[in-house]
Amino acid sequence: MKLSIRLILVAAAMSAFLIAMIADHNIRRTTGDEVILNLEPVDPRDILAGYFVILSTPIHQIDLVEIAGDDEFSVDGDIYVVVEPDDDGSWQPAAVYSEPPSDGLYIHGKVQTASVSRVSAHYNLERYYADEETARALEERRRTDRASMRLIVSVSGDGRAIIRGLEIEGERVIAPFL
Amino acid sequence: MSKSRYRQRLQKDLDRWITGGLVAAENRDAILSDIADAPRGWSASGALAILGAVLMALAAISFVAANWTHLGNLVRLILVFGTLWACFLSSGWAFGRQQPALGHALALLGAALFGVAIVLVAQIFNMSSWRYTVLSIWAVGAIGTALVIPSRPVLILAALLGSSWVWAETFNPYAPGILWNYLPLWAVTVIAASRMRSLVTANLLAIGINVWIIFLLWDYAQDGRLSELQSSSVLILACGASAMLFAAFRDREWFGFGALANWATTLALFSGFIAQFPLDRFEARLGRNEEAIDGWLEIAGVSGPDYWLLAGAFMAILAGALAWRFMTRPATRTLTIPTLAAALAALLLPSLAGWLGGESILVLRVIVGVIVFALAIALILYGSREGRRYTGGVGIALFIAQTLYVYGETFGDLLDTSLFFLIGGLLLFGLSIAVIRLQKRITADAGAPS
Repeated sequence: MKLSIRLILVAAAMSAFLIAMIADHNIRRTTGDEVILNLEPVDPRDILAGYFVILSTPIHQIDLVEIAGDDEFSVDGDIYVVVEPDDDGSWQPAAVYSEPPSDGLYIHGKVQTASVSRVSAHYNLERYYADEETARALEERRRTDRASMRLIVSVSGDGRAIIRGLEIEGERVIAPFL
Repeated sequence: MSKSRYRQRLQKDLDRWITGGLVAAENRDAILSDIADAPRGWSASGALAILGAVLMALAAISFVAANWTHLGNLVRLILVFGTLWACFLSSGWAFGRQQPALGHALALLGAALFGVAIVLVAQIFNMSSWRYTVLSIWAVGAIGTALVIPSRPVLILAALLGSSWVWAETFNPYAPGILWNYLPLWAVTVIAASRMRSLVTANLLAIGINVWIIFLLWDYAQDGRLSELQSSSVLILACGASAMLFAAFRDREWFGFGALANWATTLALFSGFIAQFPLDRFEARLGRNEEAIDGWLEIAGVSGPDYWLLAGAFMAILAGALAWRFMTRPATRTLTIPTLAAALAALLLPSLAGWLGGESILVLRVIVGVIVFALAIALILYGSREGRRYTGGVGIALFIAQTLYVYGETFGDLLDTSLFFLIGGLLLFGLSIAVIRLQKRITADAGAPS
């Protein structure tokens, strides 16, 4: 086989992988159920992907004493957080399980630390990438008016969550894919 | 020496050897053409093209990292995808036009842009769980590109990404246990490096595999399954086993395995050297507080199954590789006894420490110190042979480090240390005189009429 053809096949294989990655995430982001979470961001920088805001929401640190469901979780194990909206439209953790629950809208995560009373977990919702100016503005807003920002998340049927955008002072900020 | 200068010198030598009847005249052209066919290091144009590709790849990474909002997501994706395709198509065109330097540089840029594209997608979708896995996917893409061409610069990128992946996960507190997926990636890259004769790749792979071994042991040690001395012993055996295995492949003329063996040997010796540190720390603590004896178990540990499983497996690999070399490479047989003795000492060190107890810490420190000195001397003696300079150099470095360390730390008090050095010095002088007498006798026997 000619070298040019082989290189085209390499480029095609790489492109196919990237397109599959884009399609999977875009479908999940646009078609999943929408959940809005309160957040507390800070802004560091990634060596490859640039500036981002670290996100922490009520589902990241869960008090097992106050929440229904399972009481024991292992580090690196699965966690399924059932979320329900409160009066102002923010979704809050209602129950936690180590197996997928049979009903309710739930978000799937991985346990980072676990004790008898608390569990912390990651859900692939911990970073919001932005240009330097926006990241700093978000951090400034966090210091001055934390309650004015919320995270908009798309949750698919298997519990995988993808960030859809932010809500700042009631206004939705969602970067269109196209 | 540059190739042209070497060729000029070889031409003169060949003419002289042909005149002297050492080389047949009809072989002259074949020998000179063999020099011409041998792979070259790199050309100025090739180096500049590769460096240019590296800088352009960094420009692309920085561009994505800047998250420039004036360009929409789709435009940025099309830009990166388009450049990736342009690089690979241009690379094929350059190779077709007999411009390999440009072809390699463009393929390198194309492989780099694959990673840039993954980062861009991750950025668009705010993915946070991908951040180190991206390096492994990127490495797989780069290996595929390197094998298809084949291209040493792209292979170097693949090895760099693989090593960076294992390095990043080592320091990632959320890493999901031992990174077993690195081993097949490493194996494919090392075979490719050997076939493509890429020494830079071999060195990067050596760093990667040694970091992986340390990562493996750290995972065991952090769970309390291995004590400090047990961790040191397993590290010595793991590096010793890989050094012996790589050396066995080097004996069979596998390119690059010499570099792998040298890195592993160095780390094995360094591990043996630093095994003394917890013993020193314990002795110092014991000197300040007699109740510190209770902490001995943390250092020596108990003979748990985890230790014997790991240490036993590496010991078996080491013994197997040693036996293989013993049978297939007679020149390495002199190294068999010192290597086996050092490996057994490392294997039994935690048990010996447990048996002696914390009260006999000075005895244990002297035993370990003597073993390190003995090993350094064995390596120096082995390194006096032709073609074994690296081993000898490492032995000298170990001897110097150990001497300075013992002098700085002291065994007991300064008088004990002085006595230790005096006995050691006298032993070495005696050994030197014995070797000189032995060499004289061998020379005399060889010269005597039969």
